[in-house]
Amino acid sequence: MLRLVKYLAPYKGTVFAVMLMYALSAVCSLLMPFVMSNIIEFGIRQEDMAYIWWMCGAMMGLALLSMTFALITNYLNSVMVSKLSVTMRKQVFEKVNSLDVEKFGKVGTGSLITRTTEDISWLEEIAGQLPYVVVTVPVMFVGGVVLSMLYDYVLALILLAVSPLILLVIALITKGMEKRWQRGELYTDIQNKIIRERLSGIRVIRAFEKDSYEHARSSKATRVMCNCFVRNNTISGIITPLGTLLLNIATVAIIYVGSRRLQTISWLDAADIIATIQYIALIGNAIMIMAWTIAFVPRIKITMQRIDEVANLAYGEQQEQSDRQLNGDIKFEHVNFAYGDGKGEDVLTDINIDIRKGDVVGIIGGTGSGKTTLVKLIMNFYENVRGNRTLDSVDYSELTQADVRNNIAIALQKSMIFEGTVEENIKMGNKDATEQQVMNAVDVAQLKQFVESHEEGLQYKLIQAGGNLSGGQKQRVNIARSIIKDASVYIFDDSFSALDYLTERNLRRKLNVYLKDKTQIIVTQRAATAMRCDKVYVMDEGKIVGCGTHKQLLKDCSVYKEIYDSQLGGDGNVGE
Amino acid sequence: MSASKTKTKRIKDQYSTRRTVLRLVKDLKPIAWALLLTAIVCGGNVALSVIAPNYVGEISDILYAYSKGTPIVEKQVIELCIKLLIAYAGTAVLSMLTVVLMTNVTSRYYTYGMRVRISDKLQRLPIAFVDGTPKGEVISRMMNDVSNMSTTIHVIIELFISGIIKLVVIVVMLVMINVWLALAVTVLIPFSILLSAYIASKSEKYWKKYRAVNGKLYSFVEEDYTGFDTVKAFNLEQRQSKINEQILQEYGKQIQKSWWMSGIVQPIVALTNNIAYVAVCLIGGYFAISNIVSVGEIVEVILLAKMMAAPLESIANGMGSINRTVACANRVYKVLDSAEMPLATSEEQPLGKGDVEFVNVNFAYDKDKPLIKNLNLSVKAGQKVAIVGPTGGGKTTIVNLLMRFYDVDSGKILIDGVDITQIDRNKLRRQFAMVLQDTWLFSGSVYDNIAYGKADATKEEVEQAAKKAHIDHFIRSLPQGYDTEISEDAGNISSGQKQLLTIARAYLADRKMLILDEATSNVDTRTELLIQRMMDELMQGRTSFVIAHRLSTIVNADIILVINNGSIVEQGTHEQLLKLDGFYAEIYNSQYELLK
Repeated sequence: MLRLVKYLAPYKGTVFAVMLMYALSAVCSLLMPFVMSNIIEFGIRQEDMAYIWWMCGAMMGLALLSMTFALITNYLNSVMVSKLSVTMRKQVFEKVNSLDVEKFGKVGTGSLITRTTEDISWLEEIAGQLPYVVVTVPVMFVGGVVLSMLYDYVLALILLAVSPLILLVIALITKGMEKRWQRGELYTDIQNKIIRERLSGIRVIRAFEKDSYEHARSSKATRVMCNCFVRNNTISGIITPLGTLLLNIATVAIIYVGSRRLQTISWLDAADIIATIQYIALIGNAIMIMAWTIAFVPRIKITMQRIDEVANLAYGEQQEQSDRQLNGDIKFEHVNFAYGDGKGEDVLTDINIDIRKGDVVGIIGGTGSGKTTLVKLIMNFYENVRGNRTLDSVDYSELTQADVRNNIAIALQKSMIFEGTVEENIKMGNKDATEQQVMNAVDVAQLKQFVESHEEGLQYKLIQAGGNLSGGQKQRVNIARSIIKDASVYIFDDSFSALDYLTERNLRRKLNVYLKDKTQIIVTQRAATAMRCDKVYVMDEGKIVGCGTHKQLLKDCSVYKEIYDSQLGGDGNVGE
Repeated sequence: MSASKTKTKRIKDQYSTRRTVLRLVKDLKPIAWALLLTAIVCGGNVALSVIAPNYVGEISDILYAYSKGTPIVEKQVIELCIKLLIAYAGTAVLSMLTVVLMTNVTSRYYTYGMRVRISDKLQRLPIAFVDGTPKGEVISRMMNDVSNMSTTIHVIIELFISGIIKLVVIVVMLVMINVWLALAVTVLIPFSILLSAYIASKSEKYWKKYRAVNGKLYSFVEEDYTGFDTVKAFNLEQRQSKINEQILQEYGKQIQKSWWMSGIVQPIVALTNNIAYVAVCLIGGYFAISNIVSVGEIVEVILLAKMMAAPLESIANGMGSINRTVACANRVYKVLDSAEMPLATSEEQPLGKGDVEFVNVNFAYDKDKPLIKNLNLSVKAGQKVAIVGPTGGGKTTIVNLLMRFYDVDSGKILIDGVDITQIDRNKLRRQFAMVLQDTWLFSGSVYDNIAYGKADATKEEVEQAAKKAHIDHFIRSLPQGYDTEISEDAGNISSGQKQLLTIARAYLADRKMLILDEATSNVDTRTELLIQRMMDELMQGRTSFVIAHRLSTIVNADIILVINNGSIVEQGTHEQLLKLDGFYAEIYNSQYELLK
């Protein structure tokens, strides 16, 4: 709760105005029974119709005032919710984008998505109700007690006792809810995960006739989830009747005690008791709304923690701009690296590389040999790297992220397509690119035929995650995106794996012309891809086990020869 | 043209508000007993709750009479207080019972039942539906829409059962006290309902806009986070922030409007209630002076009028949420109504030899872009068929058709002479084991993942399969061995190892025919060499379809199909095709060519 207040702090003015309006509106409601009791006492009993007219006029005024206050509050409140939501969403989104890859991975994509979207929506809702709860309940409570104090202190005491009692009861019955919310949410995630799996694996599932098995699996998660939620909803549903019962008992108490006091205290009037009964009803309504909110406190707490966890993460990366032009001479000396604060087992050991401007360098190795990790170190995605890494002889620690990433373009192993046109996707590599430049990149990346096959051409809309592209097409869009960037080093991380040899050959031919004198680093599992590089690093189990030209490696490096033989027939007949 | 028009019109009608509401009501049939019970409980509840103000009124009269000089009879007051307590306690118990009934039967019926229905439906939807629908959308149907549906259904049922009974009873009570006072209170009801319904329908427009921008925001965030590495690598943080801000600006505007609109109803309903209150005081005051009603009756009317506020407000809310429910329900119903896979027309059993024949097969995912054109192919049992060709040429489509993930547009596919559309899908698929390029493992143990294709596999068989796939050693090196849980981002298992697990799975399944679609694309070369031997053994005597980029793995195929732009451009053995010196030869040689 307090944390939420912290987020509301910038809108102090609005929040206070909202609270003031709520308070005024509450006072208006409280005054209605007060006026009414006067009607009974002085109007009806004295048979003074003119007095009744006056008082009814006053009540009408109060009713209109109350509505006006409520409408103003509503407006201010909507403005506050909107501002709060936008600020929070902006903050969290930008914080997440500022994280480094490692921190991001630690929290996890799915969880971060929920935190940035659903969690904040949920807080929006609560924030909108918070001022009402915070203000109306105390005002009603204090006002009711003060007004009934005017009649008789005993009646006021009964009123005073009710509220804490109700809150206590609520606190007791909502005890186990927090755990169940968590469990319910856990199983929601599980259910969604299974459904996701069922959708992505539908071919395999159908091939093995496992549809009904998968259905049972997800239904089971759904059942556990529902049990938790239904149970909690039942509890929060019971709060209202239970609270009402307590209020009603207080009503009876006031009636009974009032009837006794009436006979002993001269200034107490029947109308006062009638008014007090109505105060109870008013206070009761406010408490019910508060109770509803309290029932959700555990959930708010969890959500707030989840968001704070993100908000409190240290900014991983400096966002400063850089104009630094680098040649792109990359040198690694005795580099070791392990994931997770460097405590785990080393995934890279004693890496030495020396890549000069204009080189076309291949990195080959099996899966899990550390190729992609090496590339990520070149991109400076991770901290805690041991050994020397330099770019143009400048140590990585002295370079900003922008220095590194402005000068290195990369087509990542996981091809990413953003919702938008082909052109927009490509221009992410260089937002100032001219149409001619885009067309050139398209041509080099062997996308020309694809672009021309669609009426919209470059404006062809790609749906989220590239659902309307094949794996090879996604790779080529990613290649186009990377080569349009004006960099000195171009890295292709397994970017040709979904391309057939023919397409790859054509692409690489054009690439060599297009990226003349620029450095190319080509990560691959294919010998046919590696053999077209000037120099090849062979990786195995996190180490570099060979380095040289295709011919040299074929002679000296057993790992390389093995790869080559298995893929290209091993007749040793190298076409030249 | 006109035919398609009437068709869209019919579909539109099918999801009209009226029909959907009727359907929602019909859907309640299985829990009709619970609803009936709820109605009875609610009825009792209403009776008890309207009696209470009556007692309060009587006591008020006694107290008022005292201030006019009549002494209070203690016994009478105590008796009334006890009656009042009983009425209050009864109301509380019955209300709680209503809540328990509603959440445990109705909510459960919707939140659980509907989701299970969707999950069940997924079993029978054609793959084309799954391919064409974003995963997030299906999940959002299942989660958000169903939960919105159940919340509002809850409100609506409660409203109809309890709210309306309550309103009617209260009005009757009021009339019994005094017609004019009753009129003062009830004349404002229709006005209040109409007004809030009007506002609700107005605000629905804003909620719609809000939800649209909300969806946009969510999918943008999801995209940014899934493409995090790309965002980092291209320094796209600022670009993304800017887009985010643009969407947020619109989002802020819409959320503000929809909050404002939906917040208007309450103050206006409150005003109507207050006006009624004032009217009762005025008219009641007049009648009390003229001795037509007593003060106690005025108090009773005021209490009854207060009780009216709750059902009124829920009617107002209910009106607002009906539209939303209908929208959500329609999205859910559309999934439930989606065309299912047609059933096999007859139950002919394939012979199990493994002859496969394609006869004049045509197929297109998108009717405007024919992909497979007049494909003819004849494979004898036990032959190895390799399919090669550029990406996007239709290689995987052949697998889709063979497994009946999609059905041919025209032509026939025969297995052992039987048209596969005549065979039950499951029986057909039982003939095949397949390994795909996109390895698919579900979240579960390594063991369960291997045993996926054979439910009754013994431990020895599973381990044997893992050994054959050269993954046994790796599995044993995992801390939990075969019990290791595979999770979404299983960092401890590489994509190559995942693929080996799927190979072990296919091996264990032991089917008559094999489909290997880039089955070893992620496996490192050394392991691949080892695997190849096992694969050859596996393919022995089985009709197999192999798609591979690495031509070295297919040179020994019985038939090599070279597919380009959807049709077979060349067909033959490796030697024959090389001699032909056509497209295949070009592909084959391209991998040996150096670029300089």
